[in-house]
Amino acid sequence: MVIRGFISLFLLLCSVVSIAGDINLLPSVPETVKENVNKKEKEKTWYQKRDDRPDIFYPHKAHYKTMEEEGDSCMLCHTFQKNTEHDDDKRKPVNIIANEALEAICHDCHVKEVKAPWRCDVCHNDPKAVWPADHNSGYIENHGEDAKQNEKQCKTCHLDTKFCSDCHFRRDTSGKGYHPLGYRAKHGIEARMMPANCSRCHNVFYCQDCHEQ
Amino acid sequence: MKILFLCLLWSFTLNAADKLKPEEEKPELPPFHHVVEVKPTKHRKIDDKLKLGDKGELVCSTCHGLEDIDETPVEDVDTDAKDFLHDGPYKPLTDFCYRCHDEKSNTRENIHILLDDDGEIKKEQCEYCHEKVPDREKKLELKDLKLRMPMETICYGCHLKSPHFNSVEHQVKPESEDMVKHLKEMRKKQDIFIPLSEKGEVMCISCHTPHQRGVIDVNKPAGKQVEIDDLEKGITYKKHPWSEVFQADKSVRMDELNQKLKTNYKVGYQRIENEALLRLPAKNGKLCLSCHTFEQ
Repeated sequence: MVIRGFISLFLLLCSVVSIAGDINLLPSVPETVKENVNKKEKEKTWYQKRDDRPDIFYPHKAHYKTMEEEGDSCMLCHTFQKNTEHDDDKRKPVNIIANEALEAICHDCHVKEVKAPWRCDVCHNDPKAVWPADHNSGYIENHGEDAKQNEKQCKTCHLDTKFCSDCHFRRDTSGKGYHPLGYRAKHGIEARMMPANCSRCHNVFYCQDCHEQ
Repeated sequence: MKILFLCLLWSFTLNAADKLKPEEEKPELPPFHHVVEVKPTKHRKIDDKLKLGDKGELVCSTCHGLEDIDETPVEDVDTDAKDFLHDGPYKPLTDFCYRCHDEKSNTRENIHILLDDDGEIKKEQCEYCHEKVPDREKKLELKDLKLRMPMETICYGCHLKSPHFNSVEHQVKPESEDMVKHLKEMRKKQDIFIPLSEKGEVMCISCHTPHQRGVIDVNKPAGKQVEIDDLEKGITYKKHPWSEVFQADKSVRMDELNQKLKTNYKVGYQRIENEALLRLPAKNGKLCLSCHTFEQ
């Protein structure tokens, strides 16, 4: 009875709070405070905003030598081009875009010409930020068709063919796939010990297909 | 009754909006546009090929060859078109101005060219910025320079505050004490003068020097600067294939912004060919690295 009473009281309180919120009875965050918070956010410079992006790592020092050799100054990315817009409200956003990191310029050396370190994780700290949406669990099993149809697409990230040959040319297994012959019989041990290893390629339905029969 | 009143109010608003329409539809002229709808004075010789309006006034088609330019919003005007200005394109743009305006009486000397052919100082050029020609033999303090305006704003007498991207963003106090410390170290190491304003802010003349090389003894920190063969020509750029890469990279963001602002901005990359009036070369990043440091 007492518990019921508490629950009813709690529900009543919740409904009052919700109504009060709708009709503005409860004290809300003053507009001035909100404006100040927004202003603080607005006042961030482009380089502070850049620092907020932990997914991209650009080691400036590592590029000094290239800058010297190829005559590529800081202005390659941070353009100092002639400006014709003198209305600050309009010029600022253009200026910010002009200063932002350049995927295409970076990739010109690191991906297209492969004359600079090309591993994605050299610059992209968080692999999830550049991970393609279709590379979910089960993709390793089914990647063959995509690779046959558009090998070029694979090579935008997997620049080294070693990535393919590590599995496809593997000779230390007698099976045709990734796992050694007879693996099905003993896979349960590894699945229990290191389930994360399995989920790199297989999703839960893959297990259920057999285990639920 | 209330509904009737609201309907009346709405119809009135619509009428008012209709009346305002013609004014609103007039495309806004860009900043620094030549004055229009005025009659040139009798002394002004207008090029025969440039046609004035019915009342002898300057109209859009007097200068522009693009069809219906007077009804085209500024952001949609193709300024790269051959006929944007009659018989164009013009490089430099002033060549078009001189079709009506007298070149000789309207051309000003580059006041940064302070030495004559014999290497002597052109004193009248100094007086654009200095009240008195400073004595170059003496060690001078700021007050001895007798500048006509404070050194952080003196360039604005002729130049705009944002002549290039990132100029306004740089005219602030260095972001940290470490940056100031690094600047002082670099000044000492490179034996170069990179001044900050009295408030400790970066100014145009922190990176740029207003003087031609040789005006101040080149062995002194304030006299050291990038050498240039032809100061009259000034800074020159050369096209670079990376401009396309640069534009492609930013195209989505620029398109969104242009749509929002109703503008037609373009950003690109050009490689510097000749640097002019810089204290240190920007080409290889030396100038930038006098203030900026990176851990990695």
